Amino acid sequence: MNRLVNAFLLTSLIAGTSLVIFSNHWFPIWLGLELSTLSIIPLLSYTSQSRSVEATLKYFLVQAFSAALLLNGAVLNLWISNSWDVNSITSPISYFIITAALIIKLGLAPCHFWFPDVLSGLPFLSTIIIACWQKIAPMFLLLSLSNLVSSEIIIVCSILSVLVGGWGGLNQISVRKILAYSSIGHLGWITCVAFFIPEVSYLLFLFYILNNTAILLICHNGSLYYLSSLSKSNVVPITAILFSIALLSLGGLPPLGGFINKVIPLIVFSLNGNNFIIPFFLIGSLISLFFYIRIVFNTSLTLFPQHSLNIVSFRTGNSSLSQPIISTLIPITIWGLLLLPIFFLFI
Amino acid sequence: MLTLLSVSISTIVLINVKKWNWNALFVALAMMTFLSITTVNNSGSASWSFLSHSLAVDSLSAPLIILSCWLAPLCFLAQNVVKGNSGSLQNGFLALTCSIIFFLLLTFSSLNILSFFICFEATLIPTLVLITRWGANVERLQAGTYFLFYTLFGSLPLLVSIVLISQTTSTLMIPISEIVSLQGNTFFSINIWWVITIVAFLVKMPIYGFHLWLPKAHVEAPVAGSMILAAILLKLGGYGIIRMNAYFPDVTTLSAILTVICCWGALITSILCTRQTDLKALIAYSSVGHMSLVAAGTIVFSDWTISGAIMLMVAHGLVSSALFALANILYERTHTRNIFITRGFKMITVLLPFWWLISCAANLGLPPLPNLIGELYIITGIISWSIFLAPILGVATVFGAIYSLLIYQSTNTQSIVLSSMNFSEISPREHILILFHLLPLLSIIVAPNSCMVWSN
Repeated sequence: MNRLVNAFLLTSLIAGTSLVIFSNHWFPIWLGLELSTLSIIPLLSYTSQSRSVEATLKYFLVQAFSAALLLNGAVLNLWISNSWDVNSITSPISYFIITAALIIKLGLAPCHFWFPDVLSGLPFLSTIIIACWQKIAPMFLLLSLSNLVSSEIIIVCSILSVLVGGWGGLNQISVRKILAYSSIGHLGWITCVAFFIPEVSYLLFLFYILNNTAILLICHNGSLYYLSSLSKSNVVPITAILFSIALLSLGGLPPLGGFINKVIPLIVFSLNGNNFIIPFFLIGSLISLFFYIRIVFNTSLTLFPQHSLNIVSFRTGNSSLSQPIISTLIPITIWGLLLLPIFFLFI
Repeated sequence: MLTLLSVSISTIVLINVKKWNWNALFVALAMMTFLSITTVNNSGSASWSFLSHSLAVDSLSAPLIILSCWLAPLCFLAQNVVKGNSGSLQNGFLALTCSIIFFLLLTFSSLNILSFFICFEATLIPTLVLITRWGANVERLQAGTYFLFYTLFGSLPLLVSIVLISQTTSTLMIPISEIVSLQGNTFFSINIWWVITIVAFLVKMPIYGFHLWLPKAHVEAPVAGSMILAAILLKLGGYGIIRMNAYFPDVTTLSAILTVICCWGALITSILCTRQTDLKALIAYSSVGHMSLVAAGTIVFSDWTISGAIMLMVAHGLVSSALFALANILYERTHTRNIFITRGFKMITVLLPFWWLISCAANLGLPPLPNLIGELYIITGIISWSIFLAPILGVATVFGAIYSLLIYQSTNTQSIVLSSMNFSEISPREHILILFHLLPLLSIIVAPNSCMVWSN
């Protein structure tokens, strides 16, 4: 796309998300959500592939519907509590409608069905926008609302998300769909903490975004669209190793940084005496680890026999811009566990 | 203790040495072993020494630290095949093995239960990569999956239990664990708490119900992976049970049931050993049998059984690792592990039957080798706890003798398969490898107090 148009759309995307985060009035929040949706529609659909256009259309329908639902909830809240202020959500019905809209926007179960379909139609750079950046605004809203009203719908949806994220990714061969289900599972872990201590969810969300971005950038670098292309890919060997480390970190194995995403929610749940919900999260995390291991095995732990006359040589990928970004994101996965004491500032 | 850890980390630097990286690493790790024996030894006192803020050594961790340091250079001595790989793959192998040793040292010396757990899990990833990347058959992927998921199935509940312990007692320090008391709400909750704590270590040891990952992992792993797995990683389970037992002093019903399961498991795996066709699977099942005995000893938790458990852990580590190294010596030459084919090597090898004899004699529990001392203490302790386990443990020991002699007799004194007589000589490297497994074993006979001090 024309560089100026690209810059304009990305700027308005950032502006839309910032509008959501920084405003106190429901109308700019709705405006920001719609602005971010509308500004990436041209970014996603300006290709010749019909799959991207179809994915964009699905994305637009889901996001427009949920934004309208959000505005509806905000207007209902205006009618009940006579204020447009974000902090004036006290009635359960308006809280429920707004939360339902945010759950649809985030892609938590049981409203997750659009998410793997949309992600599997888009190229990887667009996937980063949908899976990482577009989650920031609804997540901030959800976390700030959890400060006001505690409702168990968050726990129900997060348990369902973790289980769906685990079982949904098992039978997939498309790497984008696997990462979509992994994203659903991770958001389940993050939003459940929001019921107890919402400030901690920001830390977990940050870890998730950094980890996911690193993985998606490496996938973009090597064009790893399907499981079959994982072993034939032409990524540099060190990138293959870092890819495996980032995936194992996403799976929550100590001593990698993603273990924070597992140990902090467990501490938060047991602080409040809610030990009953823990087995669901453990089951979901174990099952989702299985498809991470599947990707790791296919990438770097199986080496197909090569004829000695034409040994595949590793070249760098098409866009070398992502290499420095990957190199800055990967240390979070390796040494992220040292940031665990930050959590103890919150309790 | 910090000197030991820093030495083990700085050996990673030696991976980049140009042509002599294996030798340099071997020498550095051997010097680290010497350092560990002279500094970390507890001189027979059962209390904590080398106390710092987060690292300490007591009479349980000292022998295991020395064992893990001792096996590090031996792993590099055993693994010859990897030298044919390209440079970066060799470096990867060396780095993985060094990182396993480093995390093991951290595990055994950590004072914080959460850091113990993190390092306990941290040994999983390098071992998984060793098994699946440098294994030889196609089943190694399934073996790696079984290994990872069996261990994680146990250790995620352990994480929950650690978090609950930190909530209830507001401390995670191990030396304090005997004086805190965990208040469960009902009769069931303290039992369930104990179960979710112990399952991780039972899977790791492994005991009979959770043992499926071990034969797979051992058969598919390269020899260095097998040696480290058999020698140290299994002992993490025993170490964990002994540490965590201090929190649960009065779980009597469930621990009684578990002791009986472990004893029966020892018997059943000993009988299963006589029917194995794969040499490494046979040694793996014998590991399961010995460690089931150790598990029973640690759960009974009397002075004698814990002392016997520590002794048997150290002795079994050395002997099992020696047996895997011996099996690999044969495997490198005949490329098969089938016991019907790898037999009769007394005819064509020079000193090897002697090493086989000592290793198999140690495995079956021949006096005065330390395996017998450990087994004797454990069996005495368990029988004094309940007389009805006496025939079970007796028959298990007899079957242990049967399969150990079966290993020796079939690999050495059977008639040789003529097609395997094209056999290169046993190099001095391999002789030294087995010698240094058995030398500490013989040394422990005259100094049993190094591995057996425990007071409740």
